[in-house]
Amino acid sequence: MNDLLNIEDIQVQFHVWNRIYQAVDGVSFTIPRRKSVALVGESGCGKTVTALSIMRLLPRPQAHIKQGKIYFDNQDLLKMSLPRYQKYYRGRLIGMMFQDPHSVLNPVISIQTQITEHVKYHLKMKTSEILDKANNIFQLVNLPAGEDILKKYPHQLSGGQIQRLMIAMTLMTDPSLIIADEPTTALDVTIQRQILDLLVALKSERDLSYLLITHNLAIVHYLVDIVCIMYAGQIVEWGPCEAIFQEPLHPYTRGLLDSVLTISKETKTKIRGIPGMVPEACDFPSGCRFHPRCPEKMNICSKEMPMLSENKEHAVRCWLYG
Amino acid sequence: MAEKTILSLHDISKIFPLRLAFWQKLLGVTPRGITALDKVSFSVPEGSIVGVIGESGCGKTTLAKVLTRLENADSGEVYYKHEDRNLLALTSSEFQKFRRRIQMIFQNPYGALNPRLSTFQTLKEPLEIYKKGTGIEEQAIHILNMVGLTADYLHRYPHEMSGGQRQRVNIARALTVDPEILIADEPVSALDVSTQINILNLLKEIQQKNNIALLLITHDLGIAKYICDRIIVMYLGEVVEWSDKDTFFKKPLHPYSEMLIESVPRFEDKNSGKAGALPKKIKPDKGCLFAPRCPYVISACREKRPPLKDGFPKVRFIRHL
Ligand SMILES: Nc1ncnc2c1ncn2[C@@H]1O[C@H](COP(=O)(O)OP(=O)(O)OP(=O)(O)O)[C@@H](O)[C@H]1O
Ligand SMILES: Nc1ncnc2c1ncn2[C@@H]1O[C@H](COP(=O)(O)OP(=O)(O)OP(=O)(O)O)[C@@H](O)[C@H]1O
Ligand SMILES: [Mg+2]
Ligand SMILES: [Mg+2]
Repeated sequence: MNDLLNIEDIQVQFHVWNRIYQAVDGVSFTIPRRKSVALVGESGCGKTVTALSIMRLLPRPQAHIKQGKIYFDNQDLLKMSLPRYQKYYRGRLIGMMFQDPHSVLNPVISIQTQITEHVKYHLKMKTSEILDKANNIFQLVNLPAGEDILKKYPHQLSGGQIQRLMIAMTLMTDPSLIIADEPTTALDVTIQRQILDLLVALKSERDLSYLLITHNLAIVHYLVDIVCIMYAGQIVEWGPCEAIFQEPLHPYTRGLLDSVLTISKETKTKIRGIPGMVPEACDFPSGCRFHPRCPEKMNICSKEMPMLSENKEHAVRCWLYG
Repeated sequence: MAEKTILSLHDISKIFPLRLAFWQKLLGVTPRGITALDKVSFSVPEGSIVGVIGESGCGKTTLAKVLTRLENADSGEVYYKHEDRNLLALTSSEFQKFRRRIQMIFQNPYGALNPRLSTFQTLKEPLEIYKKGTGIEEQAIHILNMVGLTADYLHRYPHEMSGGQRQRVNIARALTVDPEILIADEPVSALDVSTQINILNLLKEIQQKNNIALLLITHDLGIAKYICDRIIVMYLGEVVEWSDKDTFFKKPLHPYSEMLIESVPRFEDKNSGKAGALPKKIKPDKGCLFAPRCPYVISACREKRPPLKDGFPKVRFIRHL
């Protein structure tokens, strides 16, 4: 095994109100070294929960990992002691940009203090060195260097500034894997483009890998090599970026691609999107979980759940292909 | 313009002061500030969808907050329909009667919901005040269904939902009270493409059915093109272009608009979109604010700030030959 990250058959459950929600149900994928992977799927399909299980940040006591293994650099992350994990992995070798930056930033502590404390916990660096480095990285992500940002508090920054700050903080500890949960949603196109170019450049310069969680299919293209499409807690299709975009197999993937709004698209007609709702994680339909919304439903689809095909290049979980 | 307007803004300005350190005060340093809004004027026609686009930090959220009185403007006036009183000058009890009519969906779905309230509690309060009486729970479920959530989410707390689910609760809350104008700050940027389309279709449907106006703040030009009638482009706190959708996408007038349209990533094409390098100092002291990044810049641009042209579409740009 020479993969950077290896996730094997992870299942995560939430216990709420005596009900069991199967948020992630048997997800497996690997991130080869120097490659990047995207998790794409509809709201609530389990992307963030998958990321949080790698970070060991699932909310306790409601959530628990029922089964599965996560290897990072051949180390079993779930078996490791928490202090060791916190010091050497979370926030150090594995950086995470959260979907909700405000949940990690303390509102009453200045940005400068938060950055220096974060770095000092993981690395032996002097405050002055840290600030120099921070200023360099700020320049990379197009934040004004110096006191303009450092002396401020989180609520004084705009949505996009906070997001760039999160990227900068993640880069401070030279991680080898960055988990980015919707890293550019709050950014306008010009800045988004700059951030993407930056992330791409860092990838080759620093041997970085990304686990990108996003719903923006346009940015997936720039940044990753492999795409995993998730639906209702499962991976329904995965393959190299080009294959997914050029010959999507699963009807769900095709529905997603058709829902993308671009400025080159004619907008006189109404775009329909995928009809219906994402099923509840405590009450999945029988058979294929997508069948109630599927335009190509067959008899078998409501009876038996299809397996992910064993194709090594481009796999799909659908009865149309097997 | 002959059409009826629901909201008209005149010269709204807002400067966030930078706090000075003690020694700076002693030395008598004059306080600089961040100009978040610089004489912003435009109007929103009744029943129309107006998109506000512009770079991160250009003042879009501040504008929305000023309009809903969450932030005070330094100067400027806002008029609602035919009311002849400036909304910004009303006392907060006088403003109360506009609260229901002007609703806001916040950019950050996390901060906007009270973590101690379940979805039902969040929706219940406005329903009780404005919808009176019966079947509060059915109404709440009905609204949840509209935004693509099942009744199961009625009793969840914000931390028990995914990012997109929270944002939809947020949208549901704004819809409970039948607003006349909805100010939506990046309402769908936290949502996946297919939910996004459904919510946009929903907003458009409600807008057409109830004839409400929508001020949509977004950085996604695809969304703006799909749903907006008018486009306002902001740059460093000022309006640089105000146009209708078709003209804007066919022939953008301001060089910044051109740049925006060019940098959109397209998923069909990996190499589409290009990022212009940013100059060291973004905001010039005088002249056109966009001059440091403008491909057409000439020396006159660095001297005088171009005015927003009269007529329609409006643009703050002088094309020198
Ligand atoms: N603390 C919790 N208690 C109960 N259910 C939860 C909790 N956190 C998440 N869930 C459920 O787990 C499922 C997966 O959530 P997750 O946050 O992974 O979604 P996501 O794919 O990241 O979606 P989004 O794109 O909207 O962020 C959702 O149905 C959500 O309601
Ligand atoms: N409370 C505050 N104190 C000081 N400065 C502030 C405050 N709120 C906003 N600012 C500054 O005002 C400017 C405009 O912020 P605003 O939040 O309106 O931007 P925005 O256009 O909404 O950007 P984004 O697309 O990133 O959300 C930014 O430079 C920001 O740093
Ligand atoms: Mg998420
Ligand atoms: Mg904003």
